[in-house]
Amino acid sequence: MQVAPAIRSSRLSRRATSLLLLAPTTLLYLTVYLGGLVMVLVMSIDVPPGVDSGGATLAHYRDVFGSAPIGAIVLRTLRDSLATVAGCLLLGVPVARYITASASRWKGIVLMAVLSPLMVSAIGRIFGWIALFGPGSVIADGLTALFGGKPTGLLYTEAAIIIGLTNLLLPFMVLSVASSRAHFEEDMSKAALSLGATPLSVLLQVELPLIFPGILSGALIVFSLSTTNFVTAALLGGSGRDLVGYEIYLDILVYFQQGRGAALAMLLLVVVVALMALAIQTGVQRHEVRDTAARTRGT
Amino acid sequence: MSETVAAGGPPEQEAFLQLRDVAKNLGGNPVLAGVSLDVFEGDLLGLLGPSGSGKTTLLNIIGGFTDLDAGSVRIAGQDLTALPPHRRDIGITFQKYALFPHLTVFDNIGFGLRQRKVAAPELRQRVGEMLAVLGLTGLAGRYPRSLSGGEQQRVALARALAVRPRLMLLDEPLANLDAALRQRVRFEIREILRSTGVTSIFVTHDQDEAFALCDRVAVLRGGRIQQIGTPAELIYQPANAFVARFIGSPNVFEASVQHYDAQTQSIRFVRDRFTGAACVRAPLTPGTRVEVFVRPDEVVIARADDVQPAKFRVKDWVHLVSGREAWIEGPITLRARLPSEATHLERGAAVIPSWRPERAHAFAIEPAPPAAATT
Ligand SMILES: Nc1ncnc2c1ncn2[C@@H]1O[C@H](COP(=O)(O)OP(=O)(O)OP(=O)(O)O)[C@@H](O)[C@H]1O
Ligand SMILES: [Mg+2]
Repeated sequence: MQVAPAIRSSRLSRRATSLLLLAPTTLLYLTVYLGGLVMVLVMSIDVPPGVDSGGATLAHYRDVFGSAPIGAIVLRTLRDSLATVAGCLLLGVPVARYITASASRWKGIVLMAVLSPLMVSAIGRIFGWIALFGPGSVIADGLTALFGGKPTGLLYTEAAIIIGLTNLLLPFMVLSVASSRAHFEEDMSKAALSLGATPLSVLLQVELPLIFPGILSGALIVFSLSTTNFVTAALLGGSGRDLVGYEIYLDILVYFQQGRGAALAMLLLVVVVALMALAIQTGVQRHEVRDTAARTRGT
Repeated sequence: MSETVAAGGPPEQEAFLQLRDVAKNLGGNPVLAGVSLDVFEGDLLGLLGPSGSGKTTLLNIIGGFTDLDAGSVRIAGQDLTALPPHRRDIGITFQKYALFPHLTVFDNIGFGLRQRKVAAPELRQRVGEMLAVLGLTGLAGRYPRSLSGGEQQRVALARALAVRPRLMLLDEPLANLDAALRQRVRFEIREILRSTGVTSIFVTHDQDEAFALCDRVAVLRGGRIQQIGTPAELIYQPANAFVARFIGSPNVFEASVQHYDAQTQSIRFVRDRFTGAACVRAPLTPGTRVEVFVRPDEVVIARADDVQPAKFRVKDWVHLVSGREAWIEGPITLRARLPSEATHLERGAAVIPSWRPERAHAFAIEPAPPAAATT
């Protein structure tokens, strides 16, 4: 098709403008984010001081894999992160459904309440939890009274980490699921019911497929934020070198084993990126297959 | 004046769908009040009413999505109150179609059959039938978002009909289509509903649509049924001032009763120096204030001669698709319709309007009711 030069040039300039608007973001990512990553990468293969200088080494990576507890730490990290994802799903999906249902009166207030953990500083929130979960607290006394055992409460347990992370990361799940639920209309569930679907089938066959992209992206965000989190883990999980994020923090800032910490950080990055890519791939594929199928059959 | 009017249909026959004194309050307002309705097997009933009159709420109650505060809904003698929506076997189409976006046209139409655990070969055959009936055969593999409005509308209809429901509720199925498509789909829908023989309620706020499609039409206003009848009954025997005003955009003017004739059930009224005749539903004493309704196409205008002094003059012409409409001014302003080839009447011509008494309707003006009814 012939395009008039004036139209073409205005199209070009529109594209140029939109690219120009992306420039600051690109710059920010290139310098601060990628630059930082490269520094960590360099640190992770840098030759430790004292050893013959020059060249690169995989010693730090060997160090990471060689240390006995690392496998347990990684497993625990994955386990706690998955538990957090599960917790956020169980709690977050009903909340997201509530705030997106047209008849809900309190949705604004509920949304604010759900988002509120993000508005409190991490330190403030966590010291609150310590007072709440810790020895001598109501919860600790109650648990001791119920189950016996040592009166330390939940503090310094995996349960505390999972509960804390779930609370902190719930807003991401709720927002993500709520935004994807915009595609769902109450009338669809009425239609399904009128066609003989039980309320459970409506949920599984109509609503869930529609909010699945939101569930997937919410799960990815929560998962990656919990694997990399260290403040919550450090303070609620106690001094045990529990989770990968905390281990990295200790290596770099406390024990001055920067190379080992950097190597661990790179490994964590690779694992998380790989898992996310896999999840996105499966999620996107479902939709793409549909789209291309529709397009090839269409017109 | 009674709220509900005899439903017609053979009296010995039990109505298939029976609503009795259905009432519903939402947010403290009576959205439906004392709604009684009979729909006979195989009938197509129109539910006509202005926006906010409670049409969708009524469908939601029949479908089981909204509980009723009082009254009962029965199908084939069975009380539906305790029956959840998914066991009512009622097909519904929604104003915005509400197709399942993640399913193909085929799977949308097959959804209800799947819920009923219909075996694959039979399912394929029945969906294929629906596709053929609605002219959707080429679209089986497409997703709803890639369909035009008219196609989506037909998929919604096919999806509801595929399970062969015992009752169909159609909520403004044509509201989202453009005017030309609406005309065509209107008759397609009628043919399809007729050929399946399913009892249906068709909701609309468009009277042409209701009259073109339906055997009988119920007029709803402010949650109350004003009249139920055939299109002709609504046009020629409106039950009250609301129906008279609502149907066919009539001339409306106030007058006072001069004389009531019990034999013909009509009155002579006077307005300034203009007198005329209109039929009434109840005896009226002279001096009663009435509102008179007469549709433009019932008003005949004749050139005034020396014998009858002219009280009206032609003010203007408006060209309509159906002919010309004259605005004539006198003691009142009236619209009168003439076929386009009618005698030329220049602006300012002296004319006399008249109509057959039974084609004008007068209702006593009641003292202004509280806010709720003044729509
Ligand atoms: N949940 C609710 N709370 C309060 N009022 C409501 C509620 N749902 C509906 N209404 C009111 O009930 C009345 C009837 O609503 P309904 O949707 O049945 O009207 P409708 O006849 O279908 O109108 P339309 O032609 O615009 O679709 C309206 O005045 C509406 O504002
Ligand atoms: Mg409605």
